[in-house]
Amino acid sequence: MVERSEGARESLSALMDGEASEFEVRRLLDSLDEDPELRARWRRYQLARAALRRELPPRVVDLSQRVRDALEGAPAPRRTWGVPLAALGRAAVAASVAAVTVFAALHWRDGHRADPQVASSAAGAPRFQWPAGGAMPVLPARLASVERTPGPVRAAPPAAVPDPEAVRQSIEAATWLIHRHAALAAGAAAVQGPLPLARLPREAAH
Amino acid sequence: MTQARSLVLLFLFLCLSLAAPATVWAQADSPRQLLARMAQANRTLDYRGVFTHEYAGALASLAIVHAVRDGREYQKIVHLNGTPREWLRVNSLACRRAADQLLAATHLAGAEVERHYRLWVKGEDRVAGRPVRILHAIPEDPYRYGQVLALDRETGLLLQALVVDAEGKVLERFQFAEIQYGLAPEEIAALAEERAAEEPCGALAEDEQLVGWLPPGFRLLGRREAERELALLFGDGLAFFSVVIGAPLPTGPRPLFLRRGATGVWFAEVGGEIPVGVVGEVPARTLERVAATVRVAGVRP
Repeated sequence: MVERSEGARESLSALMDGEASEFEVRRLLDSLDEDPELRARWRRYQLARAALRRELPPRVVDLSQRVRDALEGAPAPRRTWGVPLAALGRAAVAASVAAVTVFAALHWRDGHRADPQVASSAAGAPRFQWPAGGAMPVLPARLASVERTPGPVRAAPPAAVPDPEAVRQSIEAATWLIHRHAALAAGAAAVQGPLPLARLPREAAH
Repeated sequence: MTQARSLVLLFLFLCLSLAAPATVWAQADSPRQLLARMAQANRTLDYRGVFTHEYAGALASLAIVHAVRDGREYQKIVHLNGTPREWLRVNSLACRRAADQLLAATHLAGAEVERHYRLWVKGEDRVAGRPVRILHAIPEDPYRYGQVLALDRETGLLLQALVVDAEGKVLERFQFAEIQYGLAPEEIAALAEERAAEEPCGALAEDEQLVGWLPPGFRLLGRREAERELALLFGDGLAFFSVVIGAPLPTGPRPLFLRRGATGVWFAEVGGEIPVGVVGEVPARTLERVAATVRVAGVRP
């Protein structure tokens, strides 16, 4: 275990310096999940780096899931409708909004982060494709598929992460809103069947 | 000559009259009619079943009982995972639901839904042991998600729904694992005894002015007002979001955006002080743009 932590710390340094191999990164991400000490160290490294870059106030974001997403999402070519949202929408949105990464917070996500597959255990599984053939429409040119080139894994610049109390408040407020929305949607439309009520968060509403 | 022409016309007329019923049958399979039939089936059938709901790596199982009695629709949903919770809703069938009217109006008047989605019947499959028709709704603009719906071939009931984003990622999946049509009269009676209070029918005022911009095809479909809050539901027939003025706002930087499966939540402040939440199963850009155009001049916070 000690040896493993030692190796993981080295990998961590390599990752921070942008020198980690993909294998090392994957191993490191697994270790981060299991080792709270290593996770704390990871946060400290990022904090230090943010401070060095004068990205103060020193707020730190846990990017391990983003890195994982980048690794897993890299090879799959994607089909899009409309403009490439990944490039356009997210960048524009990210500029205007404080990004919040909520970890282990009952399936809530930073809205701007790429979502994992519906079933996270099927990570790396092919994305849903509208089946071809039959009466399938010919996609217009503007719906060109976007190739995502696998590149070196690089940590994105740190974004804002609020304190746990703010995270708790956010989730509570969002839960409250979803309850209002579900009550209205269930009353106005049968078209969704039982979905509006199924969407009610597990967390207690008030 | 004229006689011959009249004969031809008569012949054509007869052909058309005979062909009419066949045309009606063909239309019964059109995507819009399938949707309208689904909405009807979802409201009026008696059934019980178990379904799963998957989003953002979570999988929940839920049991449902749905029944109609004396012009009232009862829907009871029991969460089978985690903290025990259940919901019972009672709606009057007489009060036709706003969004379903939209679909009905759609199929009679003007293909409104088809202006914003391409609808395709994509063959057949099997869900919960029942043969289903698969319907694809592919959005025509980036303001709504795509949907894949599986409708019971015999009853029209919605048995499976996937919400798919512009990159083809499945954000949410709802699927029956087991369904049984028809309930014993005593089951329905027991359900009716549990709760009698009906949901309000919801008269619509002209609140749409509160929102400066709506994605094409979205309309005001519902409204609920409480002491210090006003909630408005908008929808295009398939996708829905709500604008809640006076929603409690979390502290911290704003605007703030959270997502859970297909549901996005956008918090903002209008005029720097009035809290507004926009929540629904539409992309972030839609929530953001709507939130940015909320005007609350006429609203007392």
